[in-house]
Amino acid sequence: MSAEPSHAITDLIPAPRPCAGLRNAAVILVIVGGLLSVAALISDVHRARFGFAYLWAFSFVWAVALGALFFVGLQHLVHAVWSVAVRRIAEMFAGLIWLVAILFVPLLLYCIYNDRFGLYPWLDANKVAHDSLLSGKKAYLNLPFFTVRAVVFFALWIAFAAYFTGGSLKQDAGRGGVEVSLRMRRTAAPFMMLFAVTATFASIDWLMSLEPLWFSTIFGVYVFSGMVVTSLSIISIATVWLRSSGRLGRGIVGDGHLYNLGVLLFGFVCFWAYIAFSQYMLIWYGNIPEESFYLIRRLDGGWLVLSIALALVRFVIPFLALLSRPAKINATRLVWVSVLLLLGQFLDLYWLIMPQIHHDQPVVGWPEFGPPLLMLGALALYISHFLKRYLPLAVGDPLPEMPVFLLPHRFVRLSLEPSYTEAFESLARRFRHVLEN
Amino acid sequence: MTANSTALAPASLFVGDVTLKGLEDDIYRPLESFPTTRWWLAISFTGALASIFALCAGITVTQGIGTWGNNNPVGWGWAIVNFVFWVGIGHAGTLISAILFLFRQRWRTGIARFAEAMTVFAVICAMQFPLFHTGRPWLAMFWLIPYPNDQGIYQNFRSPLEWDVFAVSTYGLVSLMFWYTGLIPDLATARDRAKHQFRKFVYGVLSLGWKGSNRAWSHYEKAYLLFAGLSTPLVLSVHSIVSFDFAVSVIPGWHTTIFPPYFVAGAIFSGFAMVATLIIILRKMFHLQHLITDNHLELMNKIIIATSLMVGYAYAMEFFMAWYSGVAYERYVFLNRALGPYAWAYWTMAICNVLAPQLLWFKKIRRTALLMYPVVLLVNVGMWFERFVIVVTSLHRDFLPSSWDYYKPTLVDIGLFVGSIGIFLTLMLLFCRFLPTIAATELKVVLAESRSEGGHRE
Amino acid sequence: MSRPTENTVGMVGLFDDPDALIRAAERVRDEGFTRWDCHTPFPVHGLDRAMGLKSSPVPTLALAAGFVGLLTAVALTGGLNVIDYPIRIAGKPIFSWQAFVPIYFELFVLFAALTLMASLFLFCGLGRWHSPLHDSDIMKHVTGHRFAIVLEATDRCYSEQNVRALLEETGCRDVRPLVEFEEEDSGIL
Repeated sequence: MSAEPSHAITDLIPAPRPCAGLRNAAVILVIVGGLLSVAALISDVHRARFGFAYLWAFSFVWAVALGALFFVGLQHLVHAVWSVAVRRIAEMFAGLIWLVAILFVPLLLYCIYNDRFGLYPWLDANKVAHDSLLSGKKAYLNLPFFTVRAVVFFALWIAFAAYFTGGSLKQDAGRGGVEVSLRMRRTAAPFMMLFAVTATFASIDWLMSLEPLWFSTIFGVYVFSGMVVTSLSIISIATVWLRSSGRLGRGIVGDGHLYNLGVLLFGFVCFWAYIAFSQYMLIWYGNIPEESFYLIRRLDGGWLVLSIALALVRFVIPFLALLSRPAKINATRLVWVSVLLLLGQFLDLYWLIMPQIHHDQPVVGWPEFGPPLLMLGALALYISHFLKRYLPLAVGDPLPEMPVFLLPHRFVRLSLEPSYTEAFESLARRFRHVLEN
Repeated sequence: MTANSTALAPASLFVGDVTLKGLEDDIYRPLESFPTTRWWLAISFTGALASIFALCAGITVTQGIGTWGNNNPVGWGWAIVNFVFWVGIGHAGTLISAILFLFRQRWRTGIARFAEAMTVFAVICAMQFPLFHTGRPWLAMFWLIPYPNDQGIYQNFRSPLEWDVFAVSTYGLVSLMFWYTGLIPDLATARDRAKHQFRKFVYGVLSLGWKGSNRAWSHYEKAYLLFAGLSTPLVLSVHSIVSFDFAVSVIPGWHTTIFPPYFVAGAIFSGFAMVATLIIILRKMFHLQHLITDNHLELMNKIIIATSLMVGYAYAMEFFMAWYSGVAYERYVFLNRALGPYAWAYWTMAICNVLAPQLLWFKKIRRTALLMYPVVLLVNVGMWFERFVIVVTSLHRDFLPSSWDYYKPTLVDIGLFVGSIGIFLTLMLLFCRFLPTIAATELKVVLAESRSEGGHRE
Repeated sequence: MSRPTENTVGMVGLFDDPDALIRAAERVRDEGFTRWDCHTPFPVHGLDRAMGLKSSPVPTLALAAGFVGLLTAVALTGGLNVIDYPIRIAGKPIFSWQAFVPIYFELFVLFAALTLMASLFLFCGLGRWHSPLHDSDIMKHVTGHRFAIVLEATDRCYSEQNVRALLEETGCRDVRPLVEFEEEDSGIL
């Protein structure tokens, strides 16, 4: 372990340390958001708005976590090498999924008492009985089955997140090594199949069935494309932030990684636009009342402004901003485009969810702020907790050589394993101890 | 652990000790030797098939479209099925040459040229069907392309069929240019290797005076990257537009929003199956197993199974949504597909496209040309049936039960399709004989880099 | 027809190794040569910088052409289907941009791609079949597996001894004069 080049790398990876600033901000967010949420929930006037706002914010963190899980699975599936340096960040967000599961419980409780608040119309027995179309869907849209499905989805996602993130953390501790990597690669393919099915039906259950008469076969793909954009954005922001704060060391996450993230982001922004346009254009062209009412509501009155804003924020501006090659390496630009895209995800979910309660125009008031602040706070709290305990870099990955991008167009292949091991042993003994137990 | 960790390294793209010189000799050998008897036999056979196309096209033009099996509810029959089938085949070429290029997948290099050629030829075959469906192909230009005319009548740009004109012709042209751009340096190599004066002249003209100058390379590389960048959304758009032909209508079974990505996935699926079908023969015939290795086959098979699952997802989603929608017509069409008079076609499709590729989960099958061959053949069949199922089952029982009918192709329909296979294979055989089937220049880069320490991107 | 004469129009250095070529190119660039080039069987990374080449204008041109294509498509669909021959079909608005998007996109790609091809002809000298390099056997090496540096005699830094010495200094063991064969013709035909 005394090879000369390894010392340079060893010095570059600092041990995990708490991030007090983030934690304090997170605690404030959770408190403020929690208070606002409770206030909205107990007020008879705002209770319905709270329910929709909660679903809105919940779907955002859900998209972050599940998108990140997809990213991790994808990297294993295609045997990606470049992404080793940023994969831990995705694993961190994927690990969020158990928190998302906890956040789902209030939503479920809310649905159980739906008679009073009205989130999903198909929960209203009276309405269903008088609508032949709705009662025809009873076999699928009913509370027990809805709950069972949600439990199955979360069980699978948590299992896979624990498997991928846990496996990678185990490698940090020097256990498993190559076998674990090979096993994760093999598991990635079945994971992808289960992911496609669960993500689709989760989006049908939680988002599409808000308007139970409407249907679109592409809906799952639409939600999926937004989800991937969201997770890539947040991974990019976290990468730039962790790099600039020195937690990723120097020289390991280079411009090439940002470039790759930028390319993927650009690609999925285009993919989202493609899917969104396909869905919109086909429904517009077919102009069948069964489907078109969904779009008409969203393209009428005050909602038209939001629809245009959605196209600009989610596609036009990011597309132009990331089009050129140098733009994808520019960390500042990558971060602001990512922030814009996160805003775009909030807009998109708002566009999907809120017209069901505010038929004429978008409405934003204090009841809409509680749940997002609460959930963003929870997200931040989770991150600060993770970073306190674990390295944001998969130091134990046994890849024989990993490309270190010092320049965007060139990389150096480096045998990192010995140097990583040394780094781990010399600097992270305390944390390795934590991991090994 | 360190010794073991090589298990995680990317698989090698070469078998044995390949040198720059040896690689070049192997790629150019077919160009520089006389065709074998086997090649003559093969091209006589495919030429005969192609002449069936000429015969049936002649019948169509002289007798009219009435010689086809199209009937009243089924206004679109085999012609559109064949059109979509061939356009789909072409998509794998663009995927390999453009998308895998952008993703820096080096294994694409071994098969890219071949797949691109396939794209160009498949688009040529595809174009025949709408052209002959116009009845008078020699006038088709005036009907399809907007030009200033005295009547002041213009094409309807809201029609997906007019989108097709723009999409498929752009696609054909861009694929041709992309392919040719890639060929130029290889043609220059062929020119400079040539012993015979005539051969030198022909390849000299074709290579456009390429000198391998770095001032040229610097522009060339940028242009090639941009071609890839343009082709990637183009390939998505083309098959999406083909799917719009169906999906913008209000016919149950056609009008569904998942059609664009579903068609694109299906196109890649069928295209990869066709690349695999042909390249296995090619590498055997021309002894290129050390350049188109079992690793290449395995990676292609992985893409085949991935796209098979995507297609399967779309089938399932359509079925689920037909039920979920609660619309009686939607529900009927899908039940009719699975249980009606065309159930045989539907289940052929499902078995070939979804069940058969599941065999590729086994590594042994993925890596053995003989074992995977039946699977990819079945996929070719299944993807043709997929288009047949979409076109015919959605049409044959329309909203008016009194006009329901059973569609059967005529001999002319069959002849045109078989003939188009002949055209395709003839062009492929000519290509294998006269142009370098593997991108020698790009493969040299891969070889040079696999030896050097540092890596380059792209 | 009369006997061709030989003119030495430059000097060629052949290398077996791309890294040696890069080092030589850096030297030549630093010596201030302007009329020179490297010839390689495949693009060698790092050579652009070693030669001091500016980045290619091709992407900008293609992008501009793409937008011209987009505008053409807007003009074409709008001019023909909205202004000159408006016809209401399937209850769609006369100006239905949703239905024109595919045309916008395809013409964007078509114009950009045609420009790419045209710029290859323009910048890479495609379609110019005659060069002293093609007449010599140097091309055989550089489209195969060797790497050449070519210095033209018209460069103001050029002198035969100078250039030969320079190339040999950079480790080139195969320096050859580049010869042009000129037909000595007397007037027309």
